[in-house]
Amino acid sequence: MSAAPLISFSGVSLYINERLFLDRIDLSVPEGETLVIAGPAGCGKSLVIRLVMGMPGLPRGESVAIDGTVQVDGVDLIGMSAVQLQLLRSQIGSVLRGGGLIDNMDVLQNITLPLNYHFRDVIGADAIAARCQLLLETLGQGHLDQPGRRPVSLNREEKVYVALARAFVVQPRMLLLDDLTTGLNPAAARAVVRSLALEPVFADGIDVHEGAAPRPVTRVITSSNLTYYLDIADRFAVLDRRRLRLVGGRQDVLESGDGCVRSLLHATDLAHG
Amino acid sequence: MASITGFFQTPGRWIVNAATNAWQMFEFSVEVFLALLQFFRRQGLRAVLRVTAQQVYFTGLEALPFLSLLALLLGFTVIAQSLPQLQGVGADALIGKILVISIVRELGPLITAMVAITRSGTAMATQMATNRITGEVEVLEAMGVDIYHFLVVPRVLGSMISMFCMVIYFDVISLVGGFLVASTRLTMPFSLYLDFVFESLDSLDLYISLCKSILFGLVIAIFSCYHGLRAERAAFEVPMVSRLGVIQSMFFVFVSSAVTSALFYWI
Repeated sequence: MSAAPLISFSGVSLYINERLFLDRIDLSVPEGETLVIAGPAGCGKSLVIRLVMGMPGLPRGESVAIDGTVQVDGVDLIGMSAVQLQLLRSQIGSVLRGGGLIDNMDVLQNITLPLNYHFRDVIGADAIAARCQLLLETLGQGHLDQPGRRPVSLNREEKVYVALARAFVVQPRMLLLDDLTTGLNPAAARAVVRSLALEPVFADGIDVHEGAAPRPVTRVITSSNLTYYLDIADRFAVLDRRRLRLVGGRQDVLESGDGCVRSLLHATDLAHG
Repeated sequence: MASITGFFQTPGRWIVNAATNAWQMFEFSVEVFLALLQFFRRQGLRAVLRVTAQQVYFTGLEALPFLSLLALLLGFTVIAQSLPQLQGVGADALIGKILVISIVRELGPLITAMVAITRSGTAMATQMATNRITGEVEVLEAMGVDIYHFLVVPRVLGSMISMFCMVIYFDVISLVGGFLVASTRLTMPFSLYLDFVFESLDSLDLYISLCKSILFGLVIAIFSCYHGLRAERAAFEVPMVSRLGVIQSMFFVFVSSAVTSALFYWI
């Protein structure tokens, strides 16, 4: 694991339409680390992930102000050009808002969209189809490998797996996963969390980020339930009311006497689903 | 004093809102034009071409049956109304001029635009708004997909290509089909009718008709997508932004039609 932080927040306060949403966040994520950001609903944990991606999908007329610095791979996010931001996002595998599948595309088109859009010249149609099939089978969703299957026909669990396949397909350097387990029953949630450790090896042997040295995958995951991630995360950050309450390892979390941390250890996602 | 302030507040707020909207519309158009200029040089061309082809199918091909009916009815009405009157005063030859002025120059592009607005303009605005509200725009941007390049430009191009083809189709069906329907009660031979039409039709008429079709396609797609993407969070915004897209597309289609005609025929 490299010591240099891939993601770094220094005194970051985020205002949307002049309202404070994150308050003086200091956080750094070394390359290859799995960090779980936990907190109750509305604490701002999803915004941390959205900030790393440069706040995608911001409606027109919504003003965003950031104090402090957000750096990704040593580059200040605020000063990034649109092209740099697009390049950064093409290297990120993300799952937002319970999957975020595109409804008017079928399952296979959804999974292959980032490859088809960014890397179609690097990787051919056959290799793309093979990657898609491999991922669905690895994630235990081989039955979805059929053209014409729309996201609307999938259950919540299948949607999460399809979104994960779409995140994995681009061989991401960073996996940013927002509230993956919300709405899943505990057994399904644990199965989804276990699948995050996968690092699929594609038979085509193509590195779509050609020229870049192979780097370990860094995972940042948000959740309102710490329990599922105790065995897979390297570190935990607990956010409450827009501020960081705790940053530490598994032992720190388990031994914490903080009421917020205790409640996150005993939370059930279904309540938020 | 308070009542005087209140009297000016409402129109003042209205003007500020209108100016803000106009500025945002201008910014949006600039972004679309920049994406349009880089269309063939960008990554993701195949994915975007597929969306463009789908738009041509939805806007153009699927509209043909309804458009054919309207073209036939319009051609029939204009010919059946005007030809007997002209024949009554021995001015049969003017039928070509009347048809070219009314159908080719003005009504053909306008009625085709109305069909495109009601079918595709509403669909584009609704889809963009739904994409925004369900978080699909956020997801696309998070994947590094440029939404102007992936969502808007294909619709703009598809709309322009469709309108270009639809106007030619409308003019032909209206002029030929309209006469054939009307000929059951007319005495003019078809060949003579065609001679009159072709004598009156010069390249400028065709050129302007097709320029209008492309311009209308651009206006419809830009206004529909702009208003669709203005939706923010709630489903109730979808009909609101669709309605705005339709009204403004319609208004600016008429304005651009009048301006184009004035520019070409008066100046």
